[in-house]
Amino acid sequence: MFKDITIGQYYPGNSIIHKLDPRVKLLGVVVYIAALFIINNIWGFIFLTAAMVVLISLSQVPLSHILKGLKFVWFLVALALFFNLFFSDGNIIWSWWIFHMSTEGIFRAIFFALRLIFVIVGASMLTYTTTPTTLTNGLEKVFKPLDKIHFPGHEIAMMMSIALRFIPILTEEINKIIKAQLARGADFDTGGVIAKAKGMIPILVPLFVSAFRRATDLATAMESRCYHGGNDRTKMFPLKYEKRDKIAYFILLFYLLASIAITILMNMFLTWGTV
Amino acid sequence: MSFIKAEKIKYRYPVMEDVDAFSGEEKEKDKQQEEPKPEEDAIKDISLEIQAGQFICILGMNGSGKSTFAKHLNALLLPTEGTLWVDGIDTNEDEQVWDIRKSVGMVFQNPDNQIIGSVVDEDVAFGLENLGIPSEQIQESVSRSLEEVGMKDFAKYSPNKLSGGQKQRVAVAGILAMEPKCIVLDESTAMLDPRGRDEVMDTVLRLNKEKGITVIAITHYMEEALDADYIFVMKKGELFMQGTPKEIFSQDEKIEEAGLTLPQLCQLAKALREKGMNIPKDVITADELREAIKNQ
Amino acid sequence: MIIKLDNVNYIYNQGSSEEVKAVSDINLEIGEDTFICIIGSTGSGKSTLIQMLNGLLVPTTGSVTYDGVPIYKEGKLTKEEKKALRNLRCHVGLVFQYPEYQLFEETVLKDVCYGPKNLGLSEEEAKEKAIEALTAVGVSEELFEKSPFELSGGEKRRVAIAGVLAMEPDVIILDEPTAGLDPAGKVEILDLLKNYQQEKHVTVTLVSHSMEEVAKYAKRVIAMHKSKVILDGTTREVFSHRKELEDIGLGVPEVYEFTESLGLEGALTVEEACSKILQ
Repeated sequence: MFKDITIGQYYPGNSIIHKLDPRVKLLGVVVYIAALFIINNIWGFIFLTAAMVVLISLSQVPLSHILKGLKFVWFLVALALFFNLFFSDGNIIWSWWIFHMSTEGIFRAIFFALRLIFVIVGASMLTYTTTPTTLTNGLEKVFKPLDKIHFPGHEIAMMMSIALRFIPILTEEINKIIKAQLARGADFDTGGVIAKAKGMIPILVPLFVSAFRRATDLATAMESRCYHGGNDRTKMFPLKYEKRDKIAYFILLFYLLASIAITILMNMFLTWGTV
Repeated sequence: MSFIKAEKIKYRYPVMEDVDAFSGEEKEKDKQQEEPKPEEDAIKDISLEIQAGQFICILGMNGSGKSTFAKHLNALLLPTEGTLWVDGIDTNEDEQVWDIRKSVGMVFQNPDNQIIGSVVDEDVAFGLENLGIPSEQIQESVSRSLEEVGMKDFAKYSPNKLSGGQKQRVAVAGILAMEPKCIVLDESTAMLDPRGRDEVMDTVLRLNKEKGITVIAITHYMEEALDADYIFVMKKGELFMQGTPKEIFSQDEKIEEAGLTLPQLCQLAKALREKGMNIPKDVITADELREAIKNQ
Repeated sequence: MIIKLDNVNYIYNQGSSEEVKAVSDINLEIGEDTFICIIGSTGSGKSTLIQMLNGLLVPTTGSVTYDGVPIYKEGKLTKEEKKALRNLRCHVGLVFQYPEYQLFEETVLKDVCYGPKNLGLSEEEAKEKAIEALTAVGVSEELFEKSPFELSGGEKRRVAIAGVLAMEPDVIILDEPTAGLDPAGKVEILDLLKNYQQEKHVTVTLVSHSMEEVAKYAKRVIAMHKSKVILDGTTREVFSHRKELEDIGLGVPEVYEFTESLGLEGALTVEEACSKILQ
């Protein structure tokens, strides 16, 4: 049921993308998402797709792995497609009962679905190529200037990294609990919504109990290894900008400018295919 | 002075039973149903000394207070009464708590719940990072510690890909990196299969022999205790017995009273003795037993 | 009831690059009124095997039948058929490792009622079965209305086992039921399983890593190695293959080794060793 959730899980590798400084990659995601929402025509998306293809091939993360990670997103995509497709106003070309389709709607639906998929693929490229700890280090560094206003940068980063580490453990745990309850004759398939929701209790209660126990254990273990928050902490591998990171920043800048340029230029020439 | 010295230490867990953990309100139901429990100390008047460089076993049933006592050894818990000195430092002294935790490392029961890093070497570095050690030095210590527990090839692995025994060895490496004087195993082998158990025990016992690190193992496996220099047996929060393995396992009635069982060969020796064979009480190894039988 | 496995194979991640054969070519019959132990090092396929015995995992190839009735059906099933299959599979009770992690109800009694109620029994009947099972595992009445989370480790474990016994399975399979308990707790669980087996004339099958436990309690031993059953016979037969057992990282009980070292036949228990030496 919850097996092989690959979304967000580090994919070991040694590519140039893996080696980039996490701060570059974090900014990269921000720029990428910004570009995604600036772009509003087909050429922009072609440019973006090309950039994505280059990025994925550089990262050496197999496409199949990325698609597998999208497994749980298809539902959202379908939902978005449905609403945009059948409820958009504009140049109506088909209608039935409360449903109607318009040319604008079709484009909007396609762009919306693409954006959703692209956001997720882009953001998960960050986590595929960055170990949670490196990501944490990056976030912590990025948030460091906010220490002055008491923004808990270190704490947030630490929490994220622990969450990522425990995702696989807890998914395994859910599977175990489901099996144990199935062995006691549990029925998770039949019945209405309420019966099904009630049927989840035998899974959720043990899961929470176990999560709390793990949290207590982990807190004790961290304490016994001298953890006392982010003050005076050092790093085994402190973040240091290399030449490649500087180059990457330039590429990002170029990418952002190119996206804006394409959007403006193409909107001047194109009359269709924009939103 | 001995490495660890406890003088009449008591510990009582703070009472939270009648308070709802979430709302902080008192639960009515519980108040009605349960009689007020007599407040009890988890450990009572424990006085003991442990010499540096020894391999110590602490035995006892579940709920006998072993783990509570173990948590005192690196100041995770502070005695409610009495004093505990670790390496000459009173654990009640706040400023020195990091020194104590650095010199006494703990390996806990569940391998999954004590690994913080998502990559093996990052986890091993965790303690040193907390202590603010310079980066180059951390890298050096981490690779040395991983080598010492035989996990060097796994430095870049995700902990989730390791077996239980390997995970516990990573935990040992994390402690070792801090150059501790003592390692406390709090039932660290309880969730492992026999192979994993051997891996972990062999590793820490080698560290004990080669580097003179004091090892204190809390365990349910009597066989692990046979090799100990000294054994403490706890019962209901009290120190019930102490002595060398020979002294402990020759007192079969007291062992049973503590809710423990004798190692299998000691059981055999006892059975033969009861059947009238002349087998000395302090026979604990196979060789000794064989000798004793041949001498009949 | 007899569970029969015919040429059973199980492959994880079939078709992908990470294909793992967890269990291969298993032919096995389990179900005579006896105490069985399954031994094998971690990763030998034991846990896959036991999950196939009650239909939690469907074999990739091969068949599993109870008294000749298959426990799987191909194609789309109606609600009734699904239910019938589910009830059929409940003839085999499976207790996982650390079963106390599955407790969820407000009270001990309610938790144990969960299984029988899933079988379609009425509230009253379920309660009756639950009380019977709790008594069989030695959980006293004053604990019935307590929250399962308030109990000690050993008590929780016994309540969780009762949760499966209450469904009155003909074959009970337990994955390392003594893991993590103290010596007294271990003996307690094993003794109650032994008594339960003898009183109810059911089959108790347990997975264990402790050869001492196996030698003391089992009548029949099944040894697994690298996804195959390599030894299957009476406890004495299996332990007489000392060399093979040592090769796969299992070995024999200490007393067995000791009596053999004296030039005697290997003894399974302390009592047996004692009488052999005295002779």
